[in-house]
Formats: sequence, C-alpha cells, structure tokens
Amino acid sequence: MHSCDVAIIGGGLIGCAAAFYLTRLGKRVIVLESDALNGGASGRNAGSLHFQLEYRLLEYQEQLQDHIAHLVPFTRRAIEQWRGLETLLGEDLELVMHGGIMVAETADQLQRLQQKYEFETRHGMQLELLSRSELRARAPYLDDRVQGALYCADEGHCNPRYLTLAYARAAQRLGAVFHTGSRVHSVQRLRHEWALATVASVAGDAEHGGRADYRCDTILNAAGAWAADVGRLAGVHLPIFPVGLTMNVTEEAPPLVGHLVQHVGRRLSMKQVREGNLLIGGGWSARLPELTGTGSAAARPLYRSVCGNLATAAEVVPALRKLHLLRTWTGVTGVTADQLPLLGEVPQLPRYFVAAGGSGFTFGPTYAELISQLIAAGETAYPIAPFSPARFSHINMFMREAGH
Amino acid sequence: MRPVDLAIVGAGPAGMAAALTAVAHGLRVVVIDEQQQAGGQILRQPPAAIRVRNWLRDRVYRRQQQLLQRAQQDSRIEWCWQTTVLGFLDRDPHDPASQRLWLHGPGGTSELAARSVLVAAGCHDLAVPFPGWNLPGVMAAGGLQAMVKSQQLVPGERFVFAGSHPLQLIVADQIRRGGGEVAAVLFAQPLGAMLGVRKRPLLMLRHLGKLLHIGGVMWRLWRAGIPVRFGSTVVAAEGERQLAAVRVARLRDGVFEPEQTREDIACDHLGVCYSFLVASELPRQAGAAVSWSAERGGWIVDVDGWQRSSVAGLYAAGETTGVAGADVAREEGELAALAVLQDQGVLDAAQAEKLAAPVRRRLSSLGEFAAVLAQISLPPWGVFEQLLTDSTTLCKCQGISVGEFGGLLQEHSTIATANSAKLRSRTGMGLCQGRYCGYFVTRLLARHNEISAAEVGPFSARSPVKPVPIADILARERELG
Repeated sequence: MHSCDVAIIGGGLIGCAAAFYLTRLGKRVIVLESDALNGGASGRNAGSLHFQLEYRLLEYQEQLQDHIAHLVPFTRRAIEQWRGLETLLGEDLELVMHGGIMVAETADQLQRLQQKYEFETRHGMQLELLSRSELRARAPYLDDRVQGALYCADEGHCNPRYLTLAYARAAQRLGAVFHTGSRVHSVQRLRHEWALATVASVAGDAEHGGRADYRCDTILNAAGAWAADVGRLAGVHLPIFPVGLTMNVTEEAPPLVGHLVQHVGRRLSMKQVREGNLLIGGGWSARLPELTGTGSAAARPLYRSVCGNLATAAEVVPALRKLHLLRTWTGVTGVTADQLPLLGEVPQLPRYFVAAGGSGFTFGPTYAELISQLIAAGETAYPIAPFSPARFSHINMFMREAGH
Repeated sequence: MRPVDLAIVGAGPAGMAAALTAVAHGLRVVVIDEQQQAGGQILRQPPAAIRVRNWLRDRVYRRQQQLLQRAQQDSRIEWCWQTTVLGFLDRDPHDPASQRLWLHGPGGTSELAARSVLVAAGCHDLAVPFPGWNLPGVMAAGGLQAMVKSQQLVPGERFVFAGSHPLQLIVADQIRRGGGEVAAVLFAQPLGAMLGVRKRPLLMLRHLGKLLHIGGVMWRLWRAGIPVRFGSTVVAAEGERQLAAVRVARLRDGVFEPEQTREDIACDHLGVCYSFLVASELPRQAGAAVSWSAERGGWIVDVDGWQRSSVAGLYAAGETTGVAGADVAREEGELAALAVLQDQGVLDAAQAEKLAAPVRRRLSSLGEFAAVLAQISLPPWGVFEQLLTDSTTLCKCQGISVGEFGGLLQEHSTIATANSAKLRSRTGMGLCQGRYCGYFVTRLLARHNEISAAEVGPFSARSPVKPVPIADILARERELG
C-alpha cells in the first residue's frame, strides 16, 4: 500500500510538470502512468509554442469570444514561464523563441489576419502585422503566393521529447515518485480519502510498475486524451475526446525556416529543429481504429493526410520539394467539447481535480503550475474559473453517486 | 483500382516459391523487390548489363537456381522491380478487406491494393558496434558478398573477417577466388562451441550437402594458407581515414585478453559477420505481433502453422519470421501461398493440407538444422558487451555513443521501453529508422533495467520505412487530383 498527498494519473507533460510544482509546494506525490512517461501526445506533438490564437480556435471565434479573452492573461503567463524554463529545470530543452508567423495567401485570409490582429491586440497581445515586402525580408523561404503574416515575437518551439522527462527528473529530485507500467483500474472514494488500484500493463518498468494499491487525499486526472476513461472510473463524465493526428518529418536540412510557421486559413504548422529536420503538421487526422482502447499506439496515418499536409507545406515553403520525407507519425490528442482546457476541481467529487485538453503543449507548464496552486493552496495566481469542469456539470447531474 | 489477389514483398526464395504456387492456382500475383531482378540476396544476380562467367557455380546454390529459373520463366507472375514498399496505407473504405501498399519506384510513388500480402523481405547483417566500426573499409560480410556474388567485384586488396557466423568462411572463400587476399578469418567462439553440431549425427547426415560445402570451403582456405582462428575477434578498427589494420584479441572464458597480448593485422577491408537481423518493419507497421529472438534476428514476426501473421490478410515467410536460411524460406513461401489459396477460397482445407504435408516434412528437418546453426553462431552477450565500449558509436545516423546512451538511462530512471529511449535519445530516428541500432538498444535497455526484451518492446515502425523524395509524393498527389 502506497500513500501520498496527491496521486497524479497520467505521466505526460501536465502530470510530470504538476508533480514538479506540487512537490515544490511540499506535497508528497506519486505519478501513475500506464505505459512510459511522455509516451502519448506530450512526446509526439510537434513542440510548437503558438501564442497567437490558433486556426482551430479562430474557426469558432464567435462562440468562444468570452472565453478567448481569458486566454490572454494565460498567454502572458505562459510566455514568461517558457522564458525561464531551461533555468528552472536545469536542462537544455532545445527551446527557441525566435518568433512565429501566421501566413495568409488570399485577400480573404488577409482580412481575417487583420481582424485577428485587432481582436488580439485589443486584449493586450503584442503582435505585428507584416506586409508582403516586410515578410520577404524576414522570411525569404516563403513562396510568392504568401501575401502577408501576423508576427508574434515570442513564438517558437521546444523539444517535446525532452520537456516532460526534464520535469519528471526535477520532480524526482524533490521526492516525487513515478510508477510507470501501472494502469489505474479502480478509483474509490473512502470516507476521507481516495483509494486507487493499478494493474501491470504490458510495457513497463519491472521494478516499480504493476499491481498496487494507493491511498491519497487528492487525485489529479492528467490523462490527456484518455482523461474521460479515467474520469469514468470515479463516476464522472469529462467531455474530452481522443483525436488522432498525423505528423511528417523531413530528413535533416541546412538552416531554412527560422520561425514557427502557421497558416490562418489552412491546416499547417512547420518548424525546423536543431538537428535540421523540418516538422510539418497542423491538424491532419489519423485513423483511430480502436477508439475504445486506451493507448495511442494504434493510430495510423491517413494517406490523404500525409499528401495534403505536404502539399500545403510545399506551397508555402517551396524548398521542401527538394527534401526527403523521413517519417510520418501519429499521436492522439484530447479535444474537449468546447476546445478549452478542463482545469479545476470536479464539483461532484471532493478533492478530485482535472487538468487536460486545451493547448496541451504550449500551455502545459502553465496549466500544471496553476492546478498545483489550486490543489495546494485553494487559489491560483491567475483566474482559471472559466476553465473549470463545472461548466459541464449538467452532464454529471445523474452521475455523482456512481463512483461511491 | 481492382486489387490484385496477392502482393509479395521480396523476390527471394520465399517470394519466388509463393508466387509460383499462387499463380499455378490461378491467382493474380505481383512481386515487389528493390533489386532489378529476382533471386534475393542468396542469388544476387549481376545487373542486366554485366555478364559474369561462372555465376554462383557451387552445387549448394543449384536447387535455388532451379527455383529462380522457374520463377523467371513464368509469365503469369507480374514483377515490380527497383521498388520499395514504403508502408501499409489506411484501407480503402470502399474495399476494407483489401490492404493498400504504398510503393516507391522508378516512376515515383504509387499505391497497390491487394487482397492478401505476403512479406518475405529477408534479413540484413547485424552491424555490431565496436571501436572504429564506422571507418571506411569496415563492412558487413553480407555486403562484401553481395559485391562478389553479383559482379565478382572484390572491393579491396587485403581482407580480415571477424564474427561468429559460418557464412564468413564462405565469403572469405569467394573473396579469395575473386582475387582478394584474406589475412585471417576469426571466430569469437571456441571451436568446441561450433562443433556442438557433431552431437546430432542424424541431423548432420541429413544436411550433409551443406556441411560438405562448408568442409570444402575450409579445405580450400587451409590449402591457401589462410588462418581460421577460433576464440579471437577484432576489438578495434584502426586507420586515419581508411581502415589500415585491425586489433585482434583472444578470448579466454569469454573475456578479452589484456591489452599487451593483442595483435594488429594489416588490412584494408574487414568483413564483420556475427549474425543477421530480420526486416520486420513492414509487418510491424501494419500492426502484426512480433516476438524477440536474439539468435534468429531480433523482432521476428509471429506466424501460425500457415505463415499467417496476427493481422488478417497479412502473411510472412522466410527470414522475416526468424533467420533460418534460403531452404527454409522457400518452403515457408510455398506454405504461405497455400494459406492464401485456402483463405481466398481457392483450395479447401483438405486440399491445402494435402499439398502442405510434404512441405511441412521438409521444413521440420530444415528447421531443426537452422535452429542448431543459429544457436552455435551467436556469441554470448559478454562478447558484444566488451565491444560496445563507452566511446563506440551506437547509432550511426544520429552519432550517439554507447556512453551517451548509457548516461541518459542513468539520468532518466523511468526510461524502460525502446520507444521511450528513442524519444529521449534519438536512437532510431535517423535515416535507417533503427534498423541498425534497434537490436543493441533493445539488449542494452533490457540489461540496464534487468527486464526482458519483450518488456522493452520494438521501436514503433513508421511509414515511410525508407526516406522518399517529397517531390515524388507531390507529383502523385497532382496526378490523383
């Protein structure tokens, strides 16, 4: 029987970062991960730091108007946090914040950029609208078809393969405990505490993983795309859905693309990492054949996604045509019903918190820090009430007794 | 696009045998291979423009050559040369029973729909890291053999062979006959371990042909004054920009003898020949279950008694299911074709069983021999462990040393699976996609965490399994509109 203050379910970025912030706040923490740390979306996303509003949010700008306003203080906090992250964790994370551009190709897209610029600057974001000629000077790798772009000086990228493990290591040094290969299969509310039980999953850490029982004061569900499955173990519905995405990576190339490149009207994100590979993505779907199972290994790239993504990218950055595609890969990310994160205490369950969804990489460290403050002190440095799972309480009206 | 009945990946003995059996029963068969002609590695043919006299004249190749002739002369088989299978694509929603292969050939990329797919992609040399192994001149014995076999090209003057697999005797002899000088052939294991086979007299008798072939090779090497030593191996390759000499250490009870007793042998080429790794990345990418075998080629594809993988419609035969040589591959290929015929309803169970019976009889004897050969051919892990010094390059693509890799495992105690090691260290992320380093990454991880290879698991195989020009993908995209 293991006992701790906070049991974190999920060893992804948010889980490992929360383990770090919570141990720093004096909590005894155990992280339970069914596979290996950083094995899901946290380690397989493309590592973009996109502080401008994303394409996926712009599509629903009208419905999200009120909530988007709350994202701006978040964004400012996130930028500040990223700038200090390598020092905080004492590791090279291949973090660059050289700026990012969101490009437009048509008059219609230019108009959207203009609106976006006005909307975001009104809320306090620092952005620059670049004309075609200004863009030529700063980003000569772009095709002539690109008419303009919105520039955000703080944008960039970080290596997602390093970040989660860096947090885990730092947390471990402070006393956090990590049990990998441990799948949580039961969550019970006792009188004053939570009881969890795990079973061994196939791939795992033989030393620590496997069948075990845990008692804790608090649970943090940080299971990302699988947070709904984990939530159901405690008898609540959390409206987060696994979405399979495809990514492409080229062979190593000489320095070519110095920015994070996004598109205002097409699905595209692109960056060049330190070794020279170009990572190309932007929300192209992958097939999830076994949606009922957990674990993201089953996602398969869709041929149309691979071709469509590469065609879009090569139209914006024509030099891509000279490179080889090295690999495609898939990941599963969690998208919530309203695209905003689930961040806060679940009203139906005492001392049960969730931190999942949203822009899991760009804002992962911020979500983790704020949820840790909420767990440890009952309040946060920035308001997170708009992201509380309480906004979905109606789907749990008849669920609250189920887990007891 | 109407799917073909059977797509076969690999035109070696397994692929040729399967194709012949399948077309004989009326299936439409396409065979895809990266080479320009059939034969696989065992019967690597000269390029069409080159005539080679006495090409593979040894008796031991005769049965395979007959198979090659039959396959080449069979006009019902469709061949797809110089083409790489990049991966299995998502299935066509209008025809979910068929598989879709993603191809890259001289005409660019394309797709091929097939009702059944047989992967008989063979194997490649196990590239064992040791100090200096990335110097030009250090080659896989199989790579040297490919040159000699197909073009009688001897790519150097003075050769040393080192490893543990009897194949190196054959390659040494082929190099010698091609005009190269062979300075020594070194086996890491003691002679006693190699002679384990003599305890199986009946088995030896049944495979007399192969043993006589090896015996003949040994005799020719001995007559030519080429030393064949047991219990010693190359521990370092030396030279400025090109291999100039190899450092040789004797092994006593599996341990390299101390520095002062080591000896340098001058040479410009070293053929390394310890073992082989199977090409299982395509079945793995398709989701087929695999098992670990340190002796039979790493992650080998699980098949049932009919060569069916765990994925419906996907079959595997030959080395892909565990290295066992060309004769076994041929029989497995035939068995796989019989399974396809049965599963597609061309043959009923009784007919298939009847046709399979003689194949199974031959296989049981061949399989036993292959198992003994695999066992005596791989040195104990300790030999590799001593070769993999901290400064040795583990992953050539990304330039990661054994020491760096070990350091990461020390720093991150939670890394246990091959995939988590890949994410943190970049091993397996380069041009070879882990084809070369995967074997040692698996064994080092298992060793470090004291867990089984099954717990470490393979790297997830991703398509394209080999790099492909983006321009070719885009050209195809335009073509399809």
